[in-house]
Amino acid sequence: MKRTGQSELSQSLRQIVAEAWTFRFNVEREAAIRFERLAKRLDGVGALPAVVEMTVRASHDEGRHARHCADLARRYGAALIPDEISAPEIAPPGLGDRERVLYEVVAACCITETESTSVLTTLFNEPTDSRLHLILRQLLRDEVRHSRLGWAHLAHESTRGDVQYLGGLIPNMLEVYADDGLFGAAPTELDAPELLNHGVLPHSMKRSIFTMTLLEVVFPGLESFGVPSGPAREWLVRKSSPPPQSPAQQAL
Amino acid sequence: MQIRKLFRVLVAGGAILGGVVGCGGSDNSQGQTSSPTTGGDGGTNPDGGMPGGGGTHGW
Repeated sequence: MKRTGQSELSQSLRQIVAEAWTFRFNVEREAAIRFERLAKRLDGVGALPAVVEMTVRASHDEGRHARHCADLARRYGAALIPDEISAPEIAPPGLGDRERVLYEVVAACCITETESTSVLTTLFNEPTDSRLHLILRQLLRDEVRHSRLGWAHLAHESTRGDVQYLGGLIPNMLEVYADDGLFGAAPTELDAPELLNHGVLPHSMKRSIFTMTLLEVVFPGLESFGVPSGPAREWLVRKSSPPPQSPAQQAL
Repeated sequence: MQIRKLFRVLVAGGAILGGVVGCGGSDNSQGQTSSPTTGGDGGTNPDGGMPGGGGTHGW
């Protein structure tokens, strides 16, 4: 395995890596809180005991992941000052209890944890230093379980009632990725291939993996359980299309 | 692990945990983009989805 070191990074790339691990630190902290709440909610709506147990465990996993991310962020020079963080419910109003829980599980597990697994799979296969490689392996192993618990709950719910209503809501779940700038133009430095050796995907690769994972895993998975993927596919086409040119631009 | 294999590992694996056998029998991992349930509006509005509701940040 190729050994990589921070000394190979320019100061600006080092800062990008530090910010990425800091962002993940907060993502993992939020996930820990969310899973802790969801475990209780799942138990209350008659979820499978195995799924409830996996969700409790996921909360502990995410706390451990946050500590790993914090260590890595500091390693690249981030001055982490943990602030208060929360993980409020994300389901739209008007849904019943079971539907609200299912909405959040699909967003957090079937989409986000599936996407994270895909990202980690890519990073795990890149040359990194041995310490980072060990951390990526542990994170990947855990994220696989977190994704599966979501698909397990959706599978179970699809046998208990109609889950088609989720189809029109999937774009709302995906919009957070657009808000995070995934489909926007990025500075050239964010596409530097050296980032890969430090556990960070270059911007264009991140967008490509996100899209591929939706098309190859998430959308077919939703369809398998009776959730229409049409609205989400339309959302993806809209986000992936370049903005229309103005008449002035077209005349150039 | 290739992205296509993730369908079997995550979705089909989850289905078994959830007590549903035979998920992905049509080999959705091959990138099919249509199914009997694809293409319906699923209750969405033209802007994509009902008002409200959100997602969770990931890697």
